[in-house]
Amino acid sequence: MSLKLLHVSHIYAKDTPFEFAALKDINISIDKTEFIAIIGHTGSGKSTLVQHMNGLLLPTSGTVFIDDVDITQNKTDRFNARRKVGLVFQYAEHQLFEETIFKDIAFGPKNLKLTNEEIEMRVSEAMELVGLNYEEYKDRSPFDISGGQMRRVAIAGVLSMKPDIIILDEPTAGLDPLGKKEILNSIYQLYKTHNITVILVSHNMEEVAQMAERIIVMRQGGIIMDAAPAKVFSQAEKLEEIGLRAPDISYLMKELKKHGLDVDDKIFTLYGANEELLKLYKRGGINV
Amino acid sequence: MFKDITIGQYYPANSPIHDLDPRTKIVYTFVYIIVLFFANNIAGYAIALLFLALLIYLSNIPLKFVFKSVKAIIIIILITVILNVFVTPGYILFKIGPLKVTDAGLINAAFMAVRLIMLIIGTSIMTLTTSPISLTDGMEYCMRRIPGMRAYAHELAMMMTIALRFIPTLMEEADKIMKAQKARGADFETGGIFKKAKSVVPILVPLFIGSFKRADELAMAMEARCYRGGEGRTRLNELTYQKGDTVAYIVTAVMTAMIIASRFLLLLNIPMK
Ligand SMILES: Nc1ncnc2c1ncn2[C@@H]1O[C@H](COP(=O)(O)OP(=O)(O)OP(=O)(O)O)[C@@H](O)[C@H]1O
Ligand SMILES: [Mg+2]
Repeated sequence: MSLKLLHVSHIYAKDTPFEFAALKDINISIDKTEFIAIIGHTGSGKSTLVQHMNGLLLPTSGTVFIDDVDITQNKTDRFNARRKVGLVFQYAEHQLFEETIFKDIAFGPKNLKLTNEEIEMRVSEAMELVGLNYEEYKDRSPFDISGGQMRRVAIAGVLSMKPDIIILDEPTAGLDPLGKKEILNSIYQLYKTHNITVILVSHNMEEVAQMAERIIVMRQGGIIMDAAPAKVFSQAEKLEEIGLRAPDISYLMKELKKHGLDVDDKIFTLYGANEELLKLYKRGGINV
Repeated sequence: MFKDITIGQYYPANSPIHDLDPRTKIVYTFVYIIVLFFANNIAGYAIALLFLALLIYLSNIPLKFVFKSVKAIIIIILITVILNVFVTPGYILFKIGPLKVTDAGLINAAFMAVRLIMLIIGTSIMTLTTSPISLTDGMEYCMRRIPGMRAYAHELAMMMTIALRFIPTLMEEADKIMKAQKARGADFETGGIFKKAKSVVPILVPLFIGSFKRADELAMAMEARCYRGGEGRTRLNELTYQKGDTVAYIVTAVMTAMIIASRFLLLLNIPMK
């Protein structure tokens, strides 16, 4: 499984007065199972970028390779690409249309012309993955459930295609804290136990810090950083310049250090901070 | 793909025509349409054409955009021309099979085509130079003048304004839903008519649900701000006539007079055809 974007640029409404360059010379290479986060200010081109990864948008110039096949050339290759690279849109629950949850999740596998048994198996598997009980929910209408559950049905609808890579465009936007946590847990499980590469578009640095192994930072249609979280978050000033910020914990650790506590200010997760402070406490570095 | 469609083809520019009150433009367009049917000889058409040319010149709109509207109805014009050529009785010039081509037919067809083209261009100048919102404003004012329409003028105008406001939103939404279904392997391009018709269901259902939800929310938001329809409602920006509008009304009157007068040129024994 590999995904490569080479010199990809995209211009919306080309050759009209409303022309807008949304992506400028993007280069990305993904060749192993990874948990990647894409962050960037509103309008920096994140959604535009991810739609290039399964051929929903075609680059104005540049190429996209999936498993070494150039998908910008013909339709059949793009169709195959969509099986390998699943994309869950922002507010994905708006795409639901069937009478029952089962039928809606089965839409993808049906388009792949799978057998009925296979479809049923995939639907039940996908539903369990997102934490919806198969027997309890399969015959219910996707419009009678809560917003968070609808979003999970939509995610299951993409998972049932069994993609090698799943891209989620702000999957937690507009959900309550519990709904957010449940969805993020499901996503992390996918990555950990099913060996699926996850690409998560997010505005939430805490989310990203907890899960991602690689962070791509976008600004005005270009990539300005593509590195491990520790490296990205160590440049908090640069992030602030483009309207983002490091996770709160990172600021806390810096503040503690400034006040004379002997802690590592590169730490950016709650778990890491906890460990560090415990260690410090045991060393006797904190007087309570 | 939906993004490419433009509706209410407003062309923003600076021109005396753009600056006119929307009511003036609506009245002018109305009068122009009616007056066009009064023209019955070359003189009449020439006058109408002259005023149209003046209008286009003043409006600062590239000719390309002006003629775009004609392209849309080219088929209708062709059908009208063909029908006119063959069914008008008169001196037979030649025959194609059972069909007779007459001199009167040719003249009629030419006049008809010119009339249709001028009609379309005349009205599209109005939509090109007036933003949809001020156009509906103007319509509301005009409708209030029509006896019996007064009670509905505001509601109709409000409906139009909301519809115009939501067309781009809906198109964006349709585009997004279509992509989302494509991401799930949907195929909207291949297959016969039946298959294609079936394939729009996954787009239409979410689109309708979204629209109803939006309508419901908008209604709620309007009621929350005490919207009660048109009764006793004042507006933020009252339309007021400027000097340019007076000039435009005078020009309209002159044009009307001239075209009507042209009908009588024949009676005065000045040969025109
Ligand atoms: N269909 C379109 N036509 C024209 N311009 C567009 C279109 N879609 C997006 N854009 C523009 O391209 C830019 C990038 O948009 P994009 O949706 O990729 O941003 P984003 O990073 O996903 O933002 P957000 O965080 O708000 O989702 C924006 O400035 C947007 O206005
Ligand atoms: Mg986005």
